[in-house]
Amino acid sequence: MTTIGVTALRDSSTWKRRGERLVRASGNEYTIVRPGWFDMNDDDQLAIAPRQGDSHQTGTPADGVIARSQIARVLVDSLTNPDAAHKTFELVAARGLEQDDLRPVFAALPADPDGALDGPGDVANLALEDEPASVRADLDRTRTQH
Amino acid sequence: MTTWLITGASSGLGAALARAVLHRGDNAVVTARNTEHLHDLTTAYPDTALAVPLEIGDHAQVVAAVDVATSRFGALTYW
Repeated sequence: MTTIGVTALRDSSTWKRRGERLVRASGNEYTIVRPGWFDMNDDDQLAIAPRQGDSHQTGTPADGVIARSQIARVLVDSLTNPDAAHKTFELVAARGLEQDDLRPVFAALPADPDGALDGPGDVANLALEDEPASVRADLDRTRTQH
Repeated sequence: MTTWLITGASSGLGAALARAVLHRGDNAVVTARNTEHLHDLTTAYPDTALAVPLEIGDHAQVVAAVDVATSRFGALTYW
């Protein structure tokens, strides 16, 4: 789990961005969930409505909100649902009822392309060559271990 | 039966994760430094929730928590 707006070039997201890239490079099964602002949803805002591309980056709840209980449900379901594998998404809520079954929600999301550094459609992120040498070396080591 | 070990289960996202897995019908070993804060979970799910004291930085406590967990539920599935 990282955060909505993780690809914005802010100090608070630097290590989350690096962590996402290491996870994608690891060769392990994974799902990267980027939740919106915790527990700032309205009472009728319960439909789980993931997005991709990380294009909402105001750094405010306007980027998206989600109940903590729904974050927990999505994290647990991601671990146990093959349709969530190798996917990166922002987790926000839309107006409506919470879905009983999240499998169609996961299945509708494109997976991260093989070898991708970032999530599908992510807005321009920090170029790898602009990362410190130690970060690039960590990524290279992770890629060559599988 | 799926068994989870969840640290920091007394509040915040840890508590929400514990409720999510227990709601599914899975077993959950729920840990916190003070297990009194886990009473609501073990009361709501007496057969499937096991509260274990754990300070995550204390290796001996981690080993003890896993021992207690596996004695009660068998192998851990997720931790």
